[in-house]
Amino acid sequence: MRQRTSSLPLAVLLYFNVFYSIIYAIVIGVLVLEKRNLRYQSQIQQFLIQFVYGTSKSRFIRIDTVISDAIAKVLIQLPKTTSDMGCY
Amino acid sequence: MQSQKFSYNCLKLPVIWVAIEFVRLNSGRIANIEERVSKLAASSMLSIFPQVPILVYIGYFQEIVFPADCIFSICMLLLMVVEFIFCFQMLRRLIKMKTLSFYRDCIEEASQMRDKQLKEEADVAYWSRRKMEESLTNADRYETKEHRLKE
Repeated sequence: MRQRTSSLPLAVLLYFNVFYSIIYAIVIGVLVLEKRNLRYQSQIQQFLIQFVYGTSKSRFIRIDTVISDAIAKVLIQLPKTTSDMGCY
Repeated sequence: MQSQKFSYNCLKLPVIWVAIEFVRLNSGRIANIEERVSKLAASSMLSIFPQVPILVYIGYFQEIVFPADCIFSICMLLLMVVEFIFCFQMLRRLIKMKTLSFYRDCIEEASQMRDKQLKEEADVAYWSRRKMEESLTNADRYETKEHRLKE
């Protein structure tokens, strides 16, 4: 039987490197957007920026707060009564 | 205008890094599974250039460097160095194995050719001896026939 020369440590390192590269790419992308000053005002981007750049200016935003804030913003913009919609 | 230029410069290197990282990891994975020297060499070469210079630039020499840039780049560099060491070890082992198998194949081929040649030579000798024997028997018969006729 032929002896296999594949390396297990290399395989594990490559596997770990794939996940680390994805995280690194996301982080670097977010930081580049921050540097470009191209903020889309999206909550998730702000959350990622503050997660990475921990000593941020404002308070640390939790993800549930982000979601609830986003829902609240949408709800505020909805018409409250039928008269708001222009109906009698 | 200057901010636009800065933004493009900022974006270029991470995009190149992501593209090359995908190629590097994929070739490394395939080389490890299929034991291919060329792909493993390509993977280790890509680790040295351009991945390491790009990481160093992102970590230290950008126009605006955040602490996160530096920390993530150092972790990535460490990981790549360890990976390169394992890649290099495996490359040496693979080259040694391939060289040995090549020499073994050469020796086997040479022995097969020698066997074939010996067999051919043996065949030639057998048939020539047989032909000689046949001609001798024919000559004997002819002589006996002539002798009888004389008598």
